[in-house]
Amino acid sequence: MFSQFRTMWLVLKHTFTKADTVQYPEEKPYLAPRYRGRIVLTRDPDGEERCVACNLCAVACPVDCIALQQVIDDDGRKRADFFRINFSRCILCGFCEEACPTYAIQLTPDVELAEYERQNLVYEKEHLLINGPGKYHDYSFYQQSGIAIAGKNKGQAEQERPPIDIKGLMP
Amino acid sequence: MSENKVTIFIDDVPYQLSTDDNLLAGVLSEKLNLPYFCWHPSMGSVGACRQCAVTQFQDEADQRGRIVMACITPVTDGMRISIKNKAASEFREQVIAAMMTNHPHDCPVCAEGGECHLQDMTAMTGHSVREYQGTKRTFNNQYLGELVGHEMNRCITCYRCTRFYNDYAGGKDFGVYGSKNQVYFGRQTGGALESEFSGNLVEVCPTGVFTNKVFSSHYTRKWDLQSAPSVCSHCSVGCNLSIGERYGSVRRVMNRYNPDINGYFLCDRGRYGIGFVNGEQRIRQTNGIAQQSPVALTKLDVAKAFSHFRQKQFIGIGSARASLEANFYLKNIVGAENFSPGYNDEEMKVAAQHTQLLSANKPPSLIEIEQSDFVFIIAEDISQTAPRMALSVRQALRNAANAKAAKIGIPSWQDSAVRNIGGKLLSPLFSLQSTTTKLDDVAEQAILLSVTQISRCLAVLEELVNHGNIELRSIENIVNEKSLLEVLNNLAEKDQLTKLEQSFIASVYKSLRSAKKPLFISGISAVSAELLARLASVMTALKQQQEITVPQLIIVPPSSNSVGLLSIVDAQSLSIEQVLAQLNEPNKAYQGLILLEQELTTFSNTEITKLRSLAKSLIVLDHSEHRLSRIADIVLPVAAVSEGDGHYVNYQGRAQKFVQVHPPTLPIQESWRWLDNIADIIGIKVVNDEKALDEKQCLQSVAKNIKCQSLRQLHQFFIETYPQWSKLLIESDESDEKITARMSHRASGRTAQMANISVHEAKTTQKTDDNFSFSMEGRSVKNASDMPFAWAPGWNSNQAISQFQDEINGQLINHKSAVFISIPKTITNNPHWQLPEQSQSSFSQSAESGTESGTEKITEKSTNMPALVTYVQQKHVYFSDWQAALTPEFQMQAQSHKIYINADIAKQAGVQKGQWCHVNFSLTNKKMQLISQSVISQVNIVNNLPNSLVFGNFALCQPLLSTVEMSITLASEQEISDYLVLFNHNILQAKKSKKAILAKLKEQDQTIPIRLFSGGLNDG
Repeated sequence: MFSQFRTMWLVLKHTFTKADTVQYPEEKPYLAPRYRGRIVLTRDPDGEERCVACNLCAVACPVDCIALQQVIDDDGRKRADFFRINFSRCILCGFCEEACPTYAIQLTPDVELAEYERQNLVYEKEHLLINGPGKYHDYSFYQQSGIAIAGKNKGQAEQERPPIDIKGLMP
Repeated sequence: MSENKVTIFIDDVPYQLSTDDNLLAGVLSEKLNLPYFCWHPSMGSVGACRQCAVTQFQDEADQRGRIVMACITPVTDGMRISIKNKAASEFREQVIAAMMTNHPHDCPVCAEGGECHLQDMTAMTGHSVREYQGTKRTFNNQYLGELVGHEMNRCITCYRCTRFYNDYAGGKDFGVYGSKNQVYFGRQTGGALESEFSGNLVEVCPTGVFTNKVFSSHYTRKWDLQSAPSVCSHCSVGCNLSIGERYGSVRRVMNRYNPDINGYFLCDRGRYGIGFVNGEQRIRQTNGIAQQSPVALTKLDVAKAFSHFRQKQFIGIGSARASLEANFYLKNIVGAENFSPGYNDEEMKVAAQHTQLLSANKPPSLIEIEQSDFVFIIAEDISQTAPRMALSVRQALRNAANAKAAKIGIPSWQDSAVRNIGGKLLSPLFSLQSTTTKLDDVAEQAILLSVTQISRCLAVLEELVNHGNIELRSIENIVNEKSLLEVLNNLAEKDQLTKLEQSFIASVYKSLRSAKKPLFISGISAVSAELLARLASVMTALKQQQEITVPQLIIVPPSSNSVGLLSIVDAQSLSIEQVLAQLNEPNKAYQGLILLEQELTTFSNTEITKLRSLAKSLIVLDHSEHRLSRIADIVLPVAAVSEGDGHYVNYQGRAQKFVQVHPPTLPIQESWRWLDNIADIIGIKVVNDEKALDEKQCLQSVAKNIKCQSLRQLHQFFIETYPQWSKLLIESDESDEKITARMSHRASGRTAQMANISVHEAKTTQKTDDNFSFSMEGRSVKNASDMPFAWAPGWNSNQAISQFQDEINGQLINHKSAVFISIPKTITNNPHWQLPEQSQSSFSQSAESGTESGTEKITEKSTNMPALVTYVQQKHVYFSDWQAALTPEFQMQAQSHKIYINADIAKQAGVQKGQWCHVNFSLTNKKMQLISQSVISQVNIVNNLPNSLVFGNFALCQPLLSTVEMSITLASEQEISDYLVLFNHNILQAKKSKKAILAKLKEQDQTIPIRLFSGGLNDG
């Protein structure tokens, strides 16, 4: 009995609160930076592509809408030769962002993804890649990783000792 | 193996485990999860990694127990262990945690990621957070050639790589350096790995230290690969492969476990030779067929192009690399009397001998080889022509050490202990070859002789076996070496054997007498029918006596389907010389030739020109370009092994099915589909059997009503039309009814990979009555008899296979019994291919070619006189197989010309080891033409080489392979630099070709052909 009155009270109370609905598109709601909208590929602080084409986003994707192919550049970096997201399938779940070990793939608060042609929702790498680091400003995967790339040799990453001299006699 | 089972309690649950293997193997056989690194099912235990810790309890009352390493603990009756026990599981986690202190943060960029044993084991132990805050040790990597990548930072020092490479495969150029935290696995200096099994390091290494470099350059994760059970198309062993495809191109080859054949290991030719599928020489379009529609080639186009061949007579040349089905179909299209296996006269004689040997002696499988205690290899460099077999021979030689260890109670799985006790003790291996081989280092005796001399040695061995019955009956006589040598001496006198050869035969004979499971291995790369005939009579002699266990015999043919082709060849089959003669005959109105995946390697360029001029039409079916495809009227692109279905028959006669991995881009289709398209037009001749063939009724065309859309329908058609077609094959088709998925259950990108072409997703490709689907849908791989790939929950690496074996190293849970086809001996009915009646005098006759006997002294000749020699080309693991040699990574590792001569010849010619020489081979043939060939090559000196024998790694033209005159002079600077410029140019060309292939593959990735149905032409 009490709960019924309580419910009615709560409903009536809402009559006097300010509406959440906004006059979209003239007026736009606030979307938090971590809101899950359009997906982008970011760059590391040095301006290089963060994506190493490890395929983890693709395998995490529940609708299988990410396809990519890895290539190794002459400088030793791995990157995606092509990187395609089919936004007509994407459910913006954010699993890809969660799976990404290099903070390359990130979801943005842009949700305006409507198109008249479904084909236009197929985004290639050139549509996805942005010029900044996105939400994570300092992270550079190759500074953590043990592989050598141009400009960073073995033993020069963070928390690494210089390479061992295997011909050395010291124990 | 599974006879001695005892009950043990694992976490208080009783299990029946075999006492023949260690506790870890037993636990894994029960499909329980216990992490391990250093143990390997076929390399045994060393107890180095401390990962497989379990708690062992004294008895039921014991609550505390003690930690033991499962891999070095034998299974005993009533033992009680616990895997889940807190102490043991914490111990295992701590071991991983310690390994992880130095393991780099590489998984996203590591080619092993997703199929990494270290990842699996880490997850299995539950270690998830790295608490170590210090710095990580790093190493510089080495360049290990074009096949294997090196990333030493990732090493967890389990020692598996060196145990495989050095101990198991007998490699010499790899090792372990340094101590404690600085242990380094690699070569002394960077450079290509020399072993032909280096690719196995990729699978043996539990983490990503060794990666498949070719796969990495066009990489995809294991879970994205679409795989199918396949069979290696590069040699006659028939190793089982799992070939992986992604975005329409073949990516890599992994081992597919088959306990009878390849077990856990492959050779590099099998693993990397698949490169030809993506190669630049690949034929992708038809030639000589007008295509009406701009969209696709249709069956109508083919019919139009072939319409003027209606009912015309063709000669069909099959090949040993085409599938059994294609060869059989071709034979029946052209008729048995117009079918040729593409062998020349000599090879036909060899084939006749080979069939006889095959039917008289059932060759053992590789696992049976590993049980032999005596191996005698005759005139076949199996380390290069059938490398996986050589690996098995190496394991067989360890039986002496195993037996010694067993005597003092050490089981064979105690790897390091057995090796300690065994030392250099090896079972006897005798090697009678014309070239040095990689097995010489483990041979008790290896001598180098020309093929004719080898035949003579066998003749003496045969007589010795026969005499042994009469004269050496008492044991004292056998032990008494002097009398043996005396008998031998008498025998050898008439066959002119040197002392060395005599003592060799004597030791072979002595070891053979004490052997319990002897094995003879020979091959046909020497192309000598006399040798095989001699071997046959040795075998007959051995079968007629009782003292010696009759050895098993293996004849190693060169190609994946050589034995399959043998089963099709009959008395009417033509040799290629006969084909030329037939074409030349005016009263036989041949329309032309159909070449089925046949490149006619033995033909010289002039013979090719002659063939072209004689054949009115030349129809070539092949997957890659060669001399004949360039001059053909009609070229039909056929599917490579990864793109079609069919059967190959291995050296034993074991028919193995290879399954299509992915549908090829049309108009590429399987050979048998092309033949099916043209069979109606050219007409099928029913070949019932030999007698019926003469009758006219059998030459009439049969109307073919059914369309062969699948291999099964083709088999059905064969079986209805030709009673001799093996019923076994169709049974093997039907044993599996349910569909298995080619893709893993977590394949990605399904809705995006073709979205650039059309956002509307195409249906997955259908295939009628095939047991595999081109999708993720299907029953789990566990229930399939042919597993496309190995994966089990928690086991992502290829080592998941232990979850599918009924016990470790045993059969797969759902294995099919092997299908062996029968080899009819009809070819021997043809008098052409029979050898002249053999008698003892045949060898005294051959004394006329006495220069070969090795007894003649060349030193007497003046220095300027050319030496009379026989040249033998050394076989090479990469280049002896035409298909595999198309792989650019192999070409990049080509070696410059090398010639091997003995010290005498070198001294006369005044050349030293390593010097560049100008070698000229010449011969005046019967028509008094001078044939000669000059080669710039580097000299190597082999001491025990007879004067009349030289060998090298370059090819000579066919007529020069008999006794020729050879002169060696030092090459001038100009000649050397010209040669080296050309040599480097070729390597550069291979590099360019590799780059071009990669660029093309990248392009292909984005234009995946949509196939609704994987049939042939017109399949939409």
